[in-house]
Amino acid sequence: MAATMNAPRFPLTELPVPCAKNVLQTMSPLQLVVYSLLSKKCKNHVNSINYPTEVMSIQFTQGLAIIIKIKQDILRVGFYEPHTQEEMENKKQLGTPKNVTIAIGRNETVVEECRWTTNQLGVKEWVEHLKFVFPNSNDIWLNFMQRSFRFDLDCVKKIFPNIPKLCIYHTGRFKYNQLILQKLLPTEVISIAPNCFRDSRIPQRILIQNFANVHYAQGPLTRIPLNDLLINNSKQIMAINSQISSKEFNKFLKLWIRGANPRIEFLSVLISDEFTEYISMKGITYQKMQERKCNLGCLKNVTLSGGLDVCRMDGTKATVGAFREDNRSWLIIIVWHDHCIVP
Amino acid sequence: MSVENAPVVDVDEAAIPVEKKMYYRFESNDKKEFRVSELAIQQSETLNRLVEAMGYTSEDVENKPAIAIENIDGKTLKLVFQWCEHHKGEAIPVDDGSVPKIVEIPEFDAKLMDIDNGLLFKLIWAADYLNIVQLLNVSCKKVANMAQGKTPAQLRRVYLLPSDEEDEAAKRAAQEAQDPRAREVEEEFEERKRQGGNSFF
Repeated sequence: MAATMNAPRFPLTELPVPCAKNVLQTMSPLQLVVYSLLSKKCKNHVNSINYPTEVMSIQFTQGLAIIIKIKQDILRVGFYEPHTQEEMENKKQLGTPKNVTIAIGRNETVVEECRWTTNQLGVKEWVEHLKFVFPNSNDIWLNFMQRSFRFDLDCVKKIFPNIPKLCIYHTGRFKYNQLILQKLLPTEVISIAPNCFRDSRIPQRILIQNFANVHYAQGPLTRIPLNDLLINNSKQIMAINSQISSKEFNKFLKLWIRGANPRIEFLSVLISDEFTEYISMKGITYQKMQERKCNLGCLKNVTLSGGLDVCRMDGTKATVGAFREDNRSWLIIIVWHDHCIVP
Repeated sequence: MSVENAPVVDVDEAAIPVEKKMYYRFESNDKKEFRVSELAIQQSETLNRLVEAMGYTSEDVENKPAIAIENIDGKTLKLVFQWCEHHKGEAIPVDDGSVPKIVEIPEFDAKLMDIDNGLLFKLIWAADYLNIVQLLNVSCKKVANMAQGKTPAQLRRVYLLPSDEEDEAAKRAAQEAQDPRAREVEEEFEERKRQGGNSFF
């Protein structure tokens, strides 16, 4: 307390405007968040420096954390972190948590941390505040992780009524996983681990819902049945730890040529065996692709070459590519709709 | 105090022109005089332009009065010129406006800035006025470092930041202190804004 009382004073607001701005430009994102909480003016100052933050995710685990990616760092604002068994078992509403911990993590180490017990902002207000002070973080995910099942989903729905991106890992309770889907769908993008379901298979009633993007999130290695791919009418399907066989891939490609999955733009999936043109492209007419610049999400403005071009009955072209990483083989399909190619 | 009687502070002995090294004489607002090498002056865009415009020869420097820097005191100017002498010849960083600004405080600068906050405040003003980019960066970084580990309540005390209510009260007080006609115009303007009308301009 004495240290606080004797803390040095510096009249920041009396500096010339460019100097005060220079001070803010050299602050860490954690310091900027604390500064932004002090007044409307401070909040506007932080907004005006346009800090280069990236995607924001609201992560439910045992506690709740708002996570913002900043290059190699993670800014984490944490609430409801349980310290006792009783706190762990309590059902959690999203009110105005008294305790807040803000930290910056780099390579899984905390490099700066600050906590206080006099928070006056509700969770929703925190999200709105962070969206305002870091305007580059308007891409928001709602993530349910392990042990998040204590959070009241009605309350979550009330506070975040229009969630565009939802990510669900196995929370530890299958019933709760189901409840998340029941309460929070529809969304534009869904990332879901197959082990959220007892049979480790994402139900077709979910896949059929016309999401723009479907990600099969990280979890134990699973198989994607061909029918599950065919029923999925999404633009992008990405499977991180789910696989199909080369033979099934061949069947999928043939069906796509005949008109299946008309919306698909990008598919990335693990294959359970080695990629060979002989099996994967059997019975399909193809040719080596010409160099093309892609206009799709993570491949935006990337020039691609070396794949195999196939053509659908209506004339739409797609490229099939294969690559190996960490001893695993991946197959990708990029469909060259007009908007997917840089002219 | 006359110029003749003013104390002369040699910022850096090495900077005194033993050979034909060019140097300049400056005087603070409390009549302290400083001899500073030409190379050190290049760290300050303002002073560099000034001496270029003056076109002084070595004789002019000796015969004419020291160049007066009227809004910086001797204690602050001494720090400024010590910094410039230490960093003379170093490249001047270009501020491209990118954020975050990565600034490391070198050991020499840290020792130089081991001063009370009143003097640090004056040093920043001086660095800004004299346009010494890197001195401004390191001194601002020192101020930014004061925020480390502080809660909102602690940070408010450190930076003496007013709350929204205090900002409002200050604004009202400033309005009341204004000329009554100017206040009327402002109130009319605010009223039009509330009604969704265009501004006067």
